[in-house]
Amino acid sequence: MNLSRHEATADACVVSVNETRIDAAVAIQFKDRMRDLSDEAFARIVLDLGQVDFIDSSGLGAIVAAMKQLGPDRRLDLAALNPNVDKVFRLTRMDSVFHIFETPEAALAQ
Amino acid sequence: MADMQFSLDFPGSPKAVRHVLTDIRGRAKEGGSGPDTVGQIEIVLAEVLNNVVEHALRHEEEGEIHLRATHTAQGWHFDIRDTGVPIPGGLVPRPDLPSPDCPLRDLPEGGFGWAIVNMLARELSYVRADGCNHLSFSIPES
Repeated sequence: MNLSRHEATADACVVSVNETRIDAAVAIQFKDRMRDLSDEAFARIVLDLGQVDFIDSSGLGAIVAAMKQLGPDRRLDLAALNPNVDKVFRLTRMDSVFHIFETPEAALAQ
Repeated sequence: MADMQFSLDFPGSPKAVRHVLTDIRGRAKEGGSGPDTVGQIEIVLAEVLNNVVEHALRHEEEGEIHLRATHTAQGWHFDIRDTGVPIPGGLVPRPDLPSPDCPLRDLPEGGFGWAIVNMLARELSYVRADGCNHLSFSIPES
């Protein structure tokens, strides 16, 4: 599971998913990799999903798990959802539990 | 649009499911379906096939899945057969969508699969016959 992290501001970073799918085949790897990248120095992580064109319910669950493992004082925001990915978030109403931005830059500007 | 039909046989593994989903996405696009329909096919098939792999074929090392797809002007119809254990209760699960209205620590990390299938699939049916699970559903052209 290829994820890369870029420090964006003093306390925020962008994690880019360099894969086209977050699905049942990689959900556990995704969650583990997010834990590795969730350095406590960052109060906020923006997950850039721009390259992802498909998630299933396992991938969705892994993204929710990644947010939960940050705890209540840190945030996971989402950016650059493709239409198919956005649809899964809306269908399951999980769009209501994340801050979702058009681009990583828009997320960081907030 | 001419009718189209194809069949695929593949092992019950997450990697094989991923390969089949990518293949069918290509076939649906080639068949002239729009992005909404293609997206719905992919997510419903993913949930149904993942369920076969994770539950029905969980204890079968060499479990096989057979899929038949039919495309007409109205949309797509899928028949999926596997040799795994029956769905408990013998019926298509129809769970409520897990609620997101709860504290962070209680947010659901699963339980979305059948809820998504029920929201998007039409004519969803399940039969246990000849020692196999037979699940079928349709996705209309949008």
